[in-house]
Amino acid sequence: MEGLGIQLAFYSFAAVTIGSALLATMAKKIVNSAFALMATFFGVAGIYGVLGSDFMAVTQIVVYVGGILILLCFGMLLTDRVPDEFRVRSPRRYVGASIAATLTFVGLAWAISGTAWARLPHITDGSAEALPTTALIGNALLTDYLLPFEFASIVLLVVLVGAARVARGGTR
Amino acid sequence: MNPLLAQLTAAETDGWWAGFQAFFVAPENAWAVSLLLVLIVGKTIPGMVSLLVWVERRGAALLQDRLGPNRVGPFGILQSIADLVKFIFKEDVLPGHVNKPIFLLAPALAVIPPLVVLSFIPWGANVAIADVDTGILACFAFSSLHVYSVSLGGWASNSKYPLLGGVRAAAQMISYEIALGLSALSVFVIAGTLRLHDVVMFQTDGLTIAGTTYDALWARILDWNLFKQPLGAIIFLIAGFAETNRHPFDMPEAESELAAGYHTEFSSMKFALFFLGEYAAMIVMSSLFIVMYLGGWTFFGVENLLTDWVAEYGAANPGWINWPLIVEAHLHVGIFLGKLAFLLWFFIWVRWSLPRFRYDQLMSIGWKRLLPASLLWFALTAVGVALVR
Amino acid sequence: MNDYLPVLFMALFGVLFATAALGVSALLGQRGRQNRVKNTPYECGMPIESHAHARFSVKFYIVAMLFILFDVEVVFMYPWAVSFGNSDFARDAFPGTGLLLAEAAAFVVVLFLGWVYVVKKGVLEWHQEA
Repeated sequence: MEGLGIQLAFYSFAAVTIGSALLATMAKKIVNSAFALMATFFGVAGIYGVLGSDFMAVTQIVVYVGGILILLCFGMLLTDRVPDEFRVRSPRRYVGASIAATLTFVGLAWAISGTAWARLPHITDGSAEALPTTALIGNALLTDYLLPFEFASIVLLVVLVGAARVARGGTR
Repeated sequence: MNPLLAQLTAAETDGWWAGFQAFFVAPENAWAVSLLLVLIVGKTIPGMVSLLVWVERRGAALLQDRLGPNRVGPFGILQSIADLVKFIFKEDVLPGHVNKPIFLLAPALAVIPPLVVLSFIPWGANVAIADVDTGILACFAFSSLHVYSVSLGGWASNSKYPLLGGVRAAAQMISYEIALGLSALSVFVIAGTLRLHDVVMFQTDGLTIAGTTYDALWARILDWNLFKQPLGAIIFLIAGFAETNRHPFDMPEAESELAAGYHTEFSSMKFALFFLGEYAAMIVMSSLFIVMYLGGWTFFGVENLLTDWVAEYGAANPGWINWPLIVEAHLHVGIFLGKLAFLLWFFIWVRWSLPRFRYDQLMSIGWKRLLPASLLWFALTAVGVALVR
Repeated sequence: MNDYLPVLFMALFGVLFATAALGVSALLGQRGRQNRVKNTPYECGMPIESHAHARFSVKFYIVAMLFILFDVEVVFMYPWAVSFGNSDFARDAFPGTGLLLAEAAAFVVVLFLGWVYVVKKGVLEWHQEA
């Protein structure tokens, strides 16, 4: 039951993710695009959950649904009049987007194929019961992955300063 | 596995009654118990909200020396039911200028997130729909979705007051989420876990000062996080008021400026759902405050009165539903609801006592006062924990 | 992941509840007359001036950006708090309590500097004319 249930959950979340991602890119109205994107983020969170990483799943919702997508909604709320339909007109944009998408895909594929997946104890010893991952992630961040952890704060600082500068430029 | 079943084992008897009990006791049927709890909580919340609305109106009248609703039933207690009937049978206006799908979706989005968050709350030692390891973070994740209902509700209305109210509400809610998250963080620094059940247990294990654990009544009282985290608790409460758009932070629906804010264009049941969502969010915020600062379902040992009975019955009747456990669950939920009633009354009391802030004051309180204050308190807590250890 | 299954139940319950509520009032609600005035946006009875979607101050957008940045910071701090609050890890693991504290301090102080910059820049000033 365990195996089948997990498989079913995984494939349904994957279907939600891919389907709504397609919708998000194809939708003519920006609102529909935003809602499709919300479904995509939830689908990804669900996949994290199925894979036994509950902290990642919750963080996905906090940061993407509760943060990034809200920024998008703010863009919609604050602009003069959102064009109901938007369409990319110049073919150069298509070329640029295709190149970026291909590079991202290759990079992700490379990273996925190079990862030693069975690192967590609950995967290596075959017990399907997921461990509480929050403490594991905290411990890993503070020991083996300290540099990325501290680097994240620098990145956030740079963005903060950039945002403040842009804001003052806009209002002055 | 659902904690309600943790103390029970499989049944090996036959007969209808035994089969019924065995079904609920079997670990693989934990989902059925969860479903039952979901239905109970989901059904209770709308009832609680309608009672709360009546209390709010009568309380407002009491504080302002008026009568309040007093016609429908004794003391007007059936007023909410009359309101509900009216909500159902009033015309369901769908104005021509709105964005229809989003306009219908926004009220639904106001109700669903608070309900989902309530499934993470431990109402008693063995009563939680989902006692998850990410605890509070999961609560914040789903309660942050409430922003969508107000912002998109305002946006889809295509009308000035709702749009203004929606933008204000969205900016306000996200601003105070930071202070809320940071003040809650300090609790988890001292508790060392995000699991809400363990956070409650952490407040009842006796006060430890310099290696000695005290178990007297004064120590049990001081063991509540409210006394270990006084500033954090105050910041959390203030941010909670702002997060639920309650007075003195009810900018999004400042009547004299914005008519009814983001739900100006909503009528009948759509309006009722916004109303329900707002009060459910209040219940969520109060419950979180109780779990994190007021010791959850515990009350200085009263919660342990039935422990022996539960253990004896469980040992004597393996494979049967542990009825004393369910009695104990009622005791815990009762204590929790008592605290909840007090906090909800506090929300109402504040609403009818204080004037509202100006919008610029609201933003500067959130970003320039509460945020640094919660960071400072976080730093003090961390240093304190390091020194004590 | 059985821990999270009931959450799905609750979400489903919420969806059903909202649908039922909206459906009931749509079915049983009184049918009213439609006319042009009823279909206009509510502006307290005054004639409608211009369309609703005016331009807003960019400050709202900046607030949303700042929110994401601090939100990410808070999310990063939660696993830290769990590791730090867990005295066994803090005692036995390689960093030790003091170093753990320093790691978080570095993270938080950098972001606090960002906050100081933002405040000094006046991004969060709402009372002056923008």
